Amino acid sequence: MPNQPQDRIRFHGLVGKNLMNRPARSFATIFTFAVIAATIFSSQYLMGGARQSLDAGISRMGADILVVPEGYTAEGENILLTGQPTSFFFPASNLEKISRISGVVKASPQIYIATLFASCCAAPVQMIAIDPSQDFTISTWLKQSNGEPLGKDEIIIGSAIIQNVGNDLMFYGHNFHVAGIIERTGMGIDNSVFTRFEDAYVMADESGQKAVKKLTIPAGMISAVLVRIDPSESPETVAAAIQEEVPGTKTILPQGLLHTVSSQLGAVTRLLHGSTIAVIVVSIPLLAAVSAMVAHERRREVSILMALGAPRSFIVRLMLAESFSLAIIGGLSGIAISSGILFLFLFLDLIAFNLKIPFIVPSPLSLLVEGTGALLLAVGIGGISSLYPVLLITRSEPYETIRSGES
Amino acid sequence: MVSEGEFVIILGRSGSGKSTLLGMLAGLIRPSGGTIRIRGRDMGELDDTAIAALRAQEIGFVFQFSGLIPTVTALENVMIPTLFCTNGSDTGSRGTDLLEKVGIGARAGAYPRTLSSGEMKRVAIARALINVPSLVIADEPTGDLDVDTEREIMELLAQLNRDGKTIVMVTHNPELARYASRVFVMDRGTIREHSAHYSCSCRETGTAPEPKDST
Repeated sequence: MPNQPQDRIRFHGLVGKNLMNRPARSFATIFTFAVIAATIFSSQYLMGGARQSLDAGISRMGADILVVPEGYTAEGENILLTGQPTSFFFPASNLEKISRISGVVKASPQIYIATLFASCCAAPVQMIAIDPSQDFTISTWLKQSNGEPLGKDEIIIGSAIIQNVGNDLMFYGHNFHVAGIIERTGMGIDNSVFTRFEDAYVMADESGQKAVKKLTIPAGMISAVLVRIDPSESPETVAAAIQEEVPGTKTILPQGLLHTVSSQLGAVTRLLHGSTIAVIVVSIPLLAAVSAMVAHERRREVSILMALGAPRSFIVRLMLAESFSLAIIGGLSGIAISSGILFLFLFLDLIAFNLKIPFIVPSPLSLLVEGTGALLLAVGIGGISSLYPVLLITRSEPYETIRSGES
Repeated sequence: MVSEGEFVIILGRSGSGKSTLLGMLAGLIRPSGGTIRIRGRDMGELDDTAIAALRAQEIGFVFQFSGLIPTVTALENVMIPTLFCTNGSDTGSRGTDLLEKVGIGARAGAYPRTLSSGEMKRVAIARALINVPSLVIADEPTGDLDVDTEREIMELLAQLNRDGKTIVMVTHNPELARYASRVFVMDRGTIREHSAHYSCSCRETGTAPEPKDST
C-alpha cells in the first residue's frame, strides 16, 4: 500500500546514530582530527603563501640580476623581501661597465634611501630613486596610474602604504604626490616608494633646512643596478662575469632569494613541519589506541551483528565509515577554524611582520588544494589508525564473544 | 532432523554443549564433523560470506541477553537485519507490525536503555522475525527473566509456532519443555530425544499444556 509508512534503517543512519550516541568519544576524536588538519593546513597555508609571494615578487621584478655593493648582499635582499629601509652606495660608473658585459640587455640604476618616517606611516619606509627613462621594473607593477611618465615630485607607492593616487606624502620635509600604486607582492616592494633621481637629489639638498635630519646622497653614487639579460644566457654566468669584471660588486639572483627566504623560512619551516610531523606521529597511535578500545568495547555488538547475518565486510565498512565520518567532520572543522584565525592574522599583517617572510594569501585554487590535502591526510590517518583494530575484531569468533558476555 | 513447523526444545545442564549446538546450527561455529543443512543447503560447503547471507535470510536468532544495539531505537533494532539481507524486498511496515505482534508496538521509538528485560526480549524476537526466516533459534531466551515474564515470552514463542514458525530453543529449565512438540536432552555433547511427549493442545488452543507421563 503506497501510503503506508516505510520502516527502514539506512547504513549511514546507523553510522550517525552510533556516533551521536557516544558523544564524548566522538567529540574527542573530532577534536583530534581538527588539530591534525589545522596543523597541516596552517603549515601548507603559510608555506604556500610565502612561496606564492616570492614567485610573484620575483616575476614582477622584471630583472634577472640585482647588482649591489660588495658586502651589502643581505641588505639588498632585505629591500626586496621585507622592505626594511636601508641605504648603501657604489660608483655610478658601474652602470656603464655592467651594461657592456656580454649577455646584459638592459641595466637600470637605483638609489636606496632610508626615510626617517613618513606622514603616512607609523614606521620608516624604503625610498627608491629610479631613472624613469631606463627603468624596466616597476612600470609593469602599477595598479593605478595616470599613464604618464613619472613627473616632478611624483612618487609610486607600494600597496602596504595606505594612500590613494593624488594624495600627498612628505619625506625629509619634501612634499611628494602619489601618482601610482604597485600591486601587492607580499614582498618588500609593498613598503617602498619610488621617485625620480632628480627629485631625490632635490629632497636631499633641501633636507638640511626642512627635515629633522639632513639626508646625504653622495654625488656620482648609486645603490644598485637591476639587470635584464638575454634569454639565451645563463643568469649565473652573467652574474659571475659582472662580479669579475666590475670589482666591488655582488650579484643577487632569484634563486638566491629563494635560498635566502628558505633560510629565513627555515626556522618557521622546521617549526611548522616539526609540529605537523609531531601531531601525526602522536595522533596515529593515540587514535589507534582509541579505536582499539572502542572496538574491544563493541566486540559484543559486532558479534551480535555477525550473528544476525552481517558479513565481515559490513562490519569493516561500518566501523571505517564511523572513523572516516569523524575524520571528515574534524578535518573540516580544523581547516575552517585555522582559516579564520589565519585570515584574521593576515588582515592584521602579522604573519609577514612577525615571521619576517614575504606572504600573500594563496590563490583560491591553492587554498582548495591545501585544504583538500589536509583533509585527505586527516582521513587517511583515521583509516590507518582504525583499520587494524577493525580487522582484528572481525577475526574473533562471534559466538564465543556473545557467550562470554552472558556468564 | 527438525521439520518445518516444529517447536524443538533442547534441555541440558550448563556445559552440556547445547549452546554450542545452536552455534553450529546458526553457522557461527564450524563443526569438526557431520553435516548441517538448512533447507537442503549444506553449510559446510559455504564460505563465511555465504553462511552470513544464509543466516540473514533463513535464521532468526534470539540471544539470552537480548543483544539489542544500544544506540538505535527498538524499531531500528528490529530493522537492522534488513541492512544485510539480500532479499531486497520492500519491508513496508513490517517492523512496526512485528512490534505490535510481540506486544510492544507503543515502544517502537524507545531506546533499549529505557526498556525492561521483557520488552527487550520482545524486541529481540521481533528482530529475529524481520527477514521472514525459515528457522528461529533461541538460546536461553528466558534465562534472565522473572517467572511471569518468562511465561509471557514462552507463550509468545508458542504462538509464533502455532502461526507456522519453526523454532529451536535451548534451555536448562525442564519446565519449559511443555511448550515443545519435541524435546531433546543434551549431556556432555551427546544429544538424544526425550521420550516424554506433551499434549499438543497448547498449540491448538493456546492454553498451557499438561505433560503426559514420561517413560
